[in-house]
Amino acid sequence: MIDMTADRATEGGSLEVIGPGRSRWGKIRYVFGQSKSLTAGTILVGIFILIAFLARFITTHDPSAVLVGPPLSGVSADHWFGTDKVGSDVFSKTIAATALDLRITASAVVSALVVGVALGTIAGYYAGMVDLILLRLLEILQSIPTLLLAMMVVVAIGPGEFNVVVVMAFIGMPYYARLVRAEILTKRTWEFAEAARMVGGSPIRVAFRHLLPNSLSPVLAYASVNAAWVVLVTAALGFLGIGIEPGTAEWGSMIARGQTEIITGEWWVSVFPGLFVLILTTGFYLLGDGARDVMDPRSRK
Amino acid sequence: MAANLVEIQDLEGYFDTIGGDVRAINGVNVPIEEGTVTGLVGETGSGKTMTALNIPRLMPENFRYVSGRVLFRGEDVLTWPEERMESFRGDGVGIAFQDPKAALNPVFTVGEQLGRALRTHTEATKNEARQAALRILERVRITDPRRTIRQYAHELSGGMAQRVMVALAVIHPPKLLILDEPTTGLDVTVQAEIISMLRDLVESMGLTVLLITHDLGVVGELCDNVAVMYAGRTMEFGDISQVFERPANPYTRELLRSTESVEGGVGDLYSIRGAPPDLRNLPQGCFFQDRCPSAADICRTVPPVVEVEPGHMSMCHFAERYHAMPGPLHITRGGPEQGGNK
Amino acid sequence: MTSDPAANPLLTVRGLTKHFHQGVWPRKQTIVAVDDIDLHVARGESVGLVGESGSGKTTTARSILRLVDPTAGEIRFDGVKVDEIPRARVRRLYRNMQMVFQDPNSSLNPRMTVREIVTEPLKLHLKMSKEEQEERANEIMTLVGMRGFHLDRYPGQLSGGQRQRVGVGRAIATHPKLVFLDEPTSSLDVSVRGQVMQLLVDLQTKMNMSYVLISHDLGVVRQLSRRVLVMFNGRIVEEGLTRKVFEDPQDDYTKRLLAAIPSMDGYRRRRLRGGAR
Repeated sequence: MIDMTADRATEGGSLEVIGPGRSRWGKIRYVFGQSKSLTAGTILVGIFILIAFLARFITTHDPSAVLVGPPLSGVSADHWFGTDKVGSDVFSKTIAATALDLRITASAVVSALVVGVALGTIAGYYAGMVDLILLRLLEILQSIPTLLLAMMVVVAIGPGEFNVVVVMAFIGMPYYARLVRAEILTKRTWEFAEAARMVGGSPIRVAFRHLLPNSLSPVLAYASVNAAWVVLVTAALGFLGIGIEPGTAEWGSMIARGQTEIITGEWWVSVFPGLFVLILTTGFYLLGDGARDVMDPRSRK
Repeated sequence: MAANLVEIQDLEGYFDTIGGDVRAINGVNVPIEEGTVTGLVGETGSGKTMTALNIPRLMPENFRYVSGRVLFRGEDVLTWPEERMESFRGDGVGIAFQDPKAALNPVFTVGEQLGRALRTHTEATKNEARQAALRILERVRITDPRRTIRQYAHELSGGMAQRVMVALAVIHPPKLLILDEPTTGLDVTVQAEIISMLRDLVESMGLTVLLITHDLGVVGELCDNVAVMYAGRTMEFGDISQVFERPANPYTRELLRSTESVEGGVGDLYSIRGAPPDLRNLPQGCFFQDRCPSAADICRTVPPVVEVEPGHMSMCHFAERYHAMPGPLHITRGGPEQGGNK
Repeated sequence: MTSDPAANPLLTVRGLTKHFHQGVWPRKQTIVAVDDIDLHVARGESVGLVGESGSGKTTTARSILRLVDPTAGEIRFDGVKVDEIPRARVRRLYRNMQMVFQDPNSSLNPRMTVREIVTEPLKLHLKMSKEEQEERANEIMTLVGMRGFHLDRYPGQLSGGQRQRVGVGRAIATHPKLVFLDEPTSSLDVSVRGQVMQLLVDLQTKMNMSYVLISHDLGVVRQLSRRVLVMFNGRIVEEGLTRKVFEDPQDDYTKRLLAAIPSMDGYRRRRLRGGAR
């Protein structure tokens, strides 16, 4: 309630009002000042993106080469994260896997978002029968436990980066669709939707040009949460050995390969890739949380 | 003159926002006399709601004080510790919020909410609370209190919700009652009923009220004193007949004239030229200078607060001159009766 | 009833009725929002449609515009039988029949610039080229009392009055013959309300448009409409020249409505009664 009054006093003190008072840099600082999670999330995810892009320069050894050092040697100046049982450099493999996992995540999230948003927009705008059918289909899809579904589909269509992306996008898509649908459904009766019809806009134009851009905020916040999920499930599939082709540097499969060594004391083989998964998912969660806070101040306490 | 229950003195503050500093309050002086209805009237962004929210200290987090005092019986509320504020809100000052449908709790019945409002401040038993709730609903002129007491917010019409909101605020009468736009968004006929209900309620309970509104008609119907706000400043303050009949400030004058033309439909169409200033980028001196018919060079310095007659203040370099002019209103000249008035 | 404007009507509505259905079987209810209304608007005329919420005034306008489909009745606009136009072709109607919405905050897309907002009807209805659009956009800005540089602004960067001017600019962009004004000034502050009303008056004479003004605000109707229809519970209870209806209301509801307006001299009555101090 207090937020509402504040908005009134500042003529909509939301992000949409860009006043003359602050420089671009000042605005960015202000936004990040609003939410610690947003700042932390952005930094964490930012570091991983940087690592992914610079992977080739960061790696100290050829990540796919074996016997670059003595097998199962511990953390040292030459092998920062140690080596695994075939003598590959764990640090280089983990870094190379960062690039792969982020690539999968980005592709999966973007595809899910695009398809989901398109379906959701159509369902929300046309309401009625189209909506009903789409919604039921999505619900059926969502009722199957996601990890199980991912496993079944990957087993069915076989491993590989592309296949993993398709599966992840397919599973993530309904959530986007439902989010957008709910937004559009409430906004289609707003005055500007009606105004858009009256200036001669076709239904498609009204839905995609007018309603959609005003319904994206929650979708973008969700995308980050979805990204965290993709990272986790990709790792899980890798761990089970059904995701990426065997032999490729991927966090999940690296963890799996190191699990026997943990008992014998060579912890580094599993722990480092595990830490990377943990930190990156945390980063995505924080980012999504912070983005939601900043976009909708009312959700903050 | 009766003692002032509350006195807002030289209040100044701003909001820290992404668009920069929004200077919402830039010098507010409002005395609220015990046992009167004081109107806080102004347009969007004039800072009227923000001024009122300073009394229970319910300002949004990003508000920063620059100066000022909010005296309650001579003590500065702004210096009180938070624990003291908790009992002060409700006991000392109560608010009936704008948009009652959103302000009422959707998961409790009207009766439960009224009971709770009473029992947080008194030792009333469940049954006493119920009786008190029924009585207060009757006083805000709800036709069937026994039915209403069992209803939820969403089952109430706009007018009913407003009545319940008022009942909630006065079931344990606070020393000062703030009414935030009590008739906004209601139909004209319902609005008239609420106004007449409020008038009788205030009179019979002897309430001290701060009424926030943008509608000069509502001020005319309900207020004893009025503070006219513009861009976060009190431009004029005084007894309602002083302010309406002999305004000593050009903004008040122009506002009265445009209201009469636009709302009353009297005479030719009239409006103030230009638009209110941007609170992020206020001009030097008087904030009304760009729209004022008598703006001069001197207006680029901050105008003084002039007491043109006892209890009648105006913030204008030309206050005396304006005060000497005949009022702008049709009604005060005793012209033909305005349409719709009986 | 005045008969003179019927000579050359732009809009004739006969027996307009709109029912809404609420609830689920078996407790389905029919709500009669508009009940057998007759209405005519002459070319260049401004007609006020007054009533409170639930009176059916907005539904009447929306039915005529086919934003909702009327249950019964005949709507004839500029020689076209509006009620018979198939759904898919209704859009074309809006080239000549437009609407100014109540709240520019919600009727202007916050993510479009003023230029995009006012040129959209030019592009979609009139298929103008980019250059023509730009020229016309500047003309529209002048017409609504704004400047060329405002075309690059977003609605959030304008004042309330300016936003509504953009709303008006969009509505008149295609030179429509009839414009519905849905509470066009109720979201504006009093000090700028008169400006927008003046703008509407000026545009009407300049462009020879007809207005149907939907409002609960009797002052606005008084200033903008020559003729007025008072609606209550979906029916028209009184109709006539605005001046006459306001000075000498016949219907009980009209009388109540007029008496209910809060007035600035209320304090004088109170003090005469000795009520307040």
